[in-house]
Amino acid sequence: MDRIQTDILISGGGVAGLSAAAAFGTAGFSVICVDPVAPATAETDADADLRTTAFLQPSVEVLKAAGLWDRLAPHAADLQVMRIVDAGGALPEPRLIRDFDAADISALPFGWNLPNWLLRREIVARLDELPNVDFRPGIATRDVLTREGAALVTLSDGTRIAARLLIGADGRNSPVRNALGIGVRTMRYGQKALAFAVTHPQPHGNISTEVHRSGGPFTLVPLPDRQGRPCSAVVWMDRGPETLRRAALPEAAFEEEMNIRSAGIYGPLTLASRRSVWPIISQIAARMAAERTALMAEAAHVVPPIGAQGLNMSLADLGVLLDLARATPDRLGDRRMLESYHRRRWPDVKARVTGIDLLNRASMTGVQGLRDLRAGALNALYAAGPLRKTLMRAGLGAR
Amino acid sequence: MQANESTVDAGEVAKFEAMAAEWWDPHGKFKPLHMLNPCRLDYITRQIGAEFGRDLTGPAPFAGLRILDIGCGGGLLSEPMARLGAEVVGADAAPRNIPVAQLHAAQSGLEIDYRHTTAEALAESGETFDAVLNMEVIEHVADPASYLGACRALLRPGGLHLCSTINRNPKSFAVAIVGAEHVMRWLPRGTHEWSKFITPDELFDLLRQAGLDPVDRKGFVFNPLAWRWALSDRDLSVNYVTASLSPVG
Repeated sequence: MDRIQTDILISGGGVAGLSAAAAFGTAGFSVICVDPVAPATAETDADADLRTTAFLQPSVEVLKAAGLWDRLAPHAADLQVMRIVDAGGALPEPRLIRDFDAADISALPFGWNLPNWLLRREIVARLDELPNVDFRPGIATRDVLTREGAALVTLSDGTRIAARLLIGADGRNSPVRNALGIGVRTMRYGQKALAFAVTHPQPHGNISTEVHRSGGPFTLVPLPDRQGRPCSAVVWMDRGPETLRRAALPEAAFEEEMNIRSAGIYGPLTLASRRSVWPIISQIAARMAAERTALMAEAAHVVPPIGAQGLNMSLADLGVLLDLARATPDRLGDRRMLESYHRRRWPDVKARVTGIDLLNRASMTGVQGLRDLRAGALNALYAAGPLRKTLMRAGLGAR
Repeated sequence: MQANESTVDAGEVAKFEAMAAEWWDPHGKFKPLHMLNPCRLDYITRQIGAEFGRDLTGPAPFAGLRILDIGCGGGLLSEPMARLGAEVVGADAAPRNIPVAQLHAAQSGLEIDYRHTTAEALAESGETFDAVLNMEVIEHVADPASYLGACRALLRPGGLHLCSTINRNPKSFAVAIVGAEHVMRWLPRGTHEWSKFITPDELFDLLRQAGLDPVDRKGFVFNPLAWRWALSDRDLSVNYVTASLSPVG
């Protein structure tokens, strides 16, 4: 029976899957990308992803290779300074402010921040320029069977595809991962995150600020000005029931709580978007590769939104896959390529998942003594210059 | 054509005939086959489903497919194929297996065309099939190359040939002969001759020589802790299975 032959089938059309489609398409491979949900490409769409992504320096290289960076750069806000504010004392006010300035280690900013819905819009536009990329929104991966030479995939519309490489970029509940029986280890924190945008009277000065108190960080990430007012994206993590309660509050009551929690940063904040709720977990797949299959992004790893690690880990996955594919295109998807991929990515992923898990647990701590200890740790981190720079570089993914 | 004129070794047939009545006893002499059966059935049904675009969750997914089960024995594979809706021919070179299989199919309310014949005889008659199941047979035939030629002739263009056997290496000798026949006594002594075992690469070569296109190989691996078999794309050291396609047109 007729089957469509392709070099690469990507299951999942989120930011990671779409970026992979653009990157492999730009590299000359034939690509089909499917996702059950058409991407929301306007901020006002009901299911628009209001989170933002900070691309760190190495990710920008991958985006350039995908022909995406020139489209994205005009919409991006620089991340020049990462500021950590400890408001963990008895009163909700900053008692310790530490700045990590990108100028200390590099001539470039730490990264560039973009809203996810805009990323999707721009990447989909890029895919339209690539005749060898076939993006099929509204189509799910129904069945996967891998053979030695190809992954055979049946789509929800009955289309049958034989791909030399199947990429599972289909999220934390990855259908591809499940079809292949690859296990995951999941850590739950009972936390959820609220994501929304705010405007404020004082400029953010391209500073990303994490305000720590208890129950999880409140993070302001710079966005381009909106209607003449400085604008930031906020991720506010807290215990699940608290987050759900706040998500349901009337706007005025919500703004009041939000302004207590923000400890006065940038003056009074004004809500400028819907509020969306995201569950916070850590998760790591037992393997990142199987026969004719690579897992990437949240199919392979999920981390709490701390230190802008999530999507940058995903683009690091993509960077390694792309390297290997371009080095030996005739061996695309074979065992040697996929074993290299797993070997080059999994230890780094494991280390980051573990590290972010620890940071998140420390940030959730509500006991005064432990919070003081954490403030001490932040202070020590700041004081110890060379160590701090090493950590900053690790955070950047720079070597 | 008589069975003893074909590639079937007469001594081998007699050995299996002696055991025929015990085919359907899950604790009897075919206990290892009964234990392996869920795993090989999983492989067979998923390969056929993928090759012919059948949704295994639907009713009678194999309706309209004609499947040949060579060395059908008591019908351990023929019956599930019939239950999935396929038109099944079960062939066995041991005459005593046929009434055993027919009786059991009737008890199960299944219609299966069981025949005392060989792959070579069927091929000569010009019959063709969408899929040929050739499971744990090739290590018992006298001339594997000519036997696979017959299997190829039995396939329609684009047809699927599934062939499992036992690897040839010190581990397979230890497991399949010393372990299964002598220590565990799962199989009667003399069931297998180690020198007839074929490595996966040798089998791929034989399949290609027969005009087939090998597309997959997987190991059947026994996990002694879980006490069950599983498929592996890495460990083909003892039992393994291959999928190959007959050329289209």
